[in-house]
Amino acid sequence: MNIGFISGKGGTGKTYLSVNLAARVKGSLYLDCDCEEPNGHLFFRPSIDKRHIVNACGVSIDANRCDGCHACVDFCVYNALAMARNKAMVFPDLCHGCGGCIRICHMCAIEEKPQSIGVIMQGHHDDHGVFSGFLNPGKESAVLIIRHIFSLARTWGDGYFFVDCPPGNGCQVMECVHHCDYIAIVAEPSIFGLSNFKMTVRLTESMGKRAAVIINKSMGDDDLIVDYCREHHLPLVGTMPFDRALAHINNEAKIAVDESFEYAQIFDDIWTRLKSEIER
Amino acid sequence: MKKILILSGKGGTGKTTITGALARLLRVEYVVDCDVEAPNIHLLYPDTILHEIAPYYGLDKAWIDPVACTGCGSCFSACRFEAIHPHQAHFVVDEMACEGCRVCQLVCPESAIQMKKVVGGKIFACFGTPNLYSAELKMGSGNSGLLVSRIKLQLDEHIHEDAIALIDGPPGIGCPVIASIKGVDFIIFVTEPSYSGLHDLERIFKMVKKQCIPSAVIINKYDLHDEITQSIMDFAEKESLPIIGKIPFDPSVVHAQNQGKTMLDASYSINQSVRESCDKLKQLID
Repeated sequence: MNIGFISGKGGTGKTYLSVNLAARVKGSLYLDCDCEEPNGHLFFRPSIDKRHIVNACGVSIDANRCDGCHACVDFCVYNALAMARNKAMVFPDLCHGCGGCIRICHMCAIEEKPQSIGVIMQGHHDDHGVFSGFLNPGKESAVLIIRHIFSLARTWGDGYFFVDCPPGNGCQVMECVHHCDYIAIVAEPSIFGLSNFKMTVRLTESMGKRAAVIINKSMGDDDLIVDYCREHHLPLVGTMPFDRALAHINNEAKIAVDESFEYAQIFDDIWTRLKSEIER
Repeated sequence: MKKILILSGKGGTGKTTITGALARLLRVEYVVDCDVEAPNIHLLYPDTILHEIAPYYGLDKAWIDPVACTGCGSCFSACRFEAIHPHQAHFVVDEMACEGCRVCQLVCPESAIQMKKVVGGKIFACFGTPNLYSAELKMGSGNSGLLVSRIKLQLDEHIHEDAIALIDGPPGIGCPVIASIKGVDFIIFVTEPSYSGLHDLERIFKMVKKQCIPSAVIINKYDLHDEITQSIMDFAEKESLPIIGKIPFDPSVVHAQNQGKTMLDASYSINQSVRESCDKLKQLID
């Protein structure tokens, strides 16, 4: 059971909620799919069991064979190839690995060369599995890393998998949502939060996923979000007030539920409600 | 012309909030929202009405003519993006997965595949004080980096020589961020005193460093954690990044924005600290 935590807006508390809920559910798995800026490992400080290098397709060009016809440069829609001194050359960071240039080169001067785009750290913390994806700086997209995280997670067996998704509503979020069985939308009651929350609801609806909402950083006035949830038949399974002490713990990358019984109880309540919605 | 980009790595550190405040203090003529997956800066200008100025076409998408397709499966085996699926006796393209590479078209023996232009989003603007540019990515169209480049092209067409443009960047370090960095003159990193904020600042800085663009740091909500604020200052010093401002945490910032005001109206101490950051920024960009 993959539960995806999404929000549209950044900094609403996706990591905070997914980490703390995962920490309260026995034998759960935490998957950090925010590969551009993964932070879950800072909280879990997992013992690393395995490193998986993620490769994307790339190409290398044999300059001795290249006759400078530039058919490959003309074919590449990603502008990943260019001519330099009458020879084709590749900018690996721009290559999407479609393999078109390999097919079009009549001199067979181009061949496939896997390029590393990132790494997945597989580890554990107590009885929780912790998988974190890291995109190499300079690389464009973590979609392949995300796909790989989910395929690794499948080998873990059954249980609840807490998926910490990236911000936004683009291709990486969609890749995550695609693999998830249930979505937990983390909403922040501010004008920015509300606007992005609505976009996120549209995304989950258009992808046909069931979802519940958790409000974070509440300062008492959450009417706009509560009303929107009601209109869209979205269950509200928790409201976390803004709390300076809690923020302090979170800023230090500590797991709040491990710090006090009171916080553990708050997260247990949210989990009870979320779980009953999932099982409904 | 000066283009100043606001980045953070981590989301929710206050990029948009601070962009709005600096735009007002600097009286900039152009404000650009490059966070196309979650655009928000227009919300700080409740009286402005954004108009679509251009459609955004992403990369073309493949389309298989079901009449001409013989179902040989060449396209299916050549596609690296798992974007082609069997459907009854022929094959169809999953537009969401298609990256427009044209390899399927190249391998199709029946010439049954065409590339089609697909609207992937919209670019909006409101010409006034300031001139506001924003964009929206259509659900599922992907390639937000290309859309970022397109908004910036619109800006380049309109902006005049001695104007300043403030660009609100996307979170992360991926393609939209890479696209937003191209051609800017100055970068402000907005961070917050959390280990996540610091970790993400280190990652984004690692990516930007090679390009030697003058940069500075603003620590937002700095009083939420003194020690981590100190760690951020140590990191900045090590990397010779000037810290141009430390803004305290104040819940009235959210209240002010919810009422259609900027953080400058939140409280005296917030106002003062943003003004100080702005003065230091001016010295650095002049």
